[in-house]
Amino acid sequence: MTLSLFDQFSSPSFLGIPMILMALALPWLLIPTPTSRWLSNRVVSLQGWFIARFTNQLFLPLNVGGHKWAPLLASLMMFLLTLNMLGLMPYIFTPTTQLSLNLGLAVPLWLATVLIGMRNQPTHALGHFLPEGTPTALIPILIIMQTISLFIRPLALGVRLTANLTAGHLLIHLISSAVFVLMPMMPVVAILTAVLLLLLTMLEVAVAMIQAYVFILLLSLYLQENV
Amino acid sequence: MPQLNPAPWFMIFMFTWAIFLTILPPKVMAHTFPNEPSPQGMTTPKTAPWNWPWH
Repeated sequence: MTLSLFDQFSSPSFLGIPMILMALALPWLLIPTPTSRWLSNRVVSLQGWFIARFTNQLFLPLNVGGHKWAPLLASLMMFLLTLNMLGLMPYIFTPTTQLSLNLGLAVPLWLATVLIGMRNQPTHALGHFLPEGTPTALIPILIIMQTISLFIRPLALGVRLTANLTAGHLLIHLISSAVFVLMPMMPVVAILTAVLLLLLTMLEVAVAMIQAYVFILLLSLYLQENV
Repeated sequence: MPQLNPAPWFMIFMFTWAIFLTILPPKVMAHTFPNEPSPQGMTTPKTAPWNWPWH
């Protein structure tokens, strides 16, 4: 094997153009812009239904002050969902497996929620460092722990998406190469492995959707603490 | 592991946010959600009938 397992994640470059630019710029052709006509096509209707229901569910627990984040978070959901799902197609590079991209999305959004909290309601935002009813002896250590957990949030947000997608792609790669290797020697085992591959692919489709959702959900929870 | 390599991180960062902020919000915001039609009221509306007394 000339390619190592992890080479599928290295950002390719073709004719001097980094392919991550193409992988980021082109998928939006799949999301049509709705017109102001009354009747739209099925894709637009489905996406409109999804955006409306998703935004409704996401912003139900938030204060009205946080509702102005709805366009941003709904757009981010479409962004991550499209990239994650397209990445499961063979030969399509997945930009969301890149740690730099995920951290680049996570850090500014997390920082925005924290800054909003510190700017608008500093007492309330700082109050999250100490849960009510803490024994006095635990207060210093708890504040240190809460501070660490606050600052580790963007890291966890970015690494979670990277790790989940990387693990899924690696498993698909490993099991599909196992199918190829086993086919001439043990056809029955190979077919069983192929069934496993099918199930795993279905799981990865679910993971691609769930991880996009988790990213947005955690951001909305951070926002909830700060608005 | 190449996916952990932050090599052109600033280019990726700027390009991601540029795409994310210029292309997606107009598409998401262009969706319109008309209100559900409300059912007709049960009570009959009180109207002041005006007839033509000179006929």
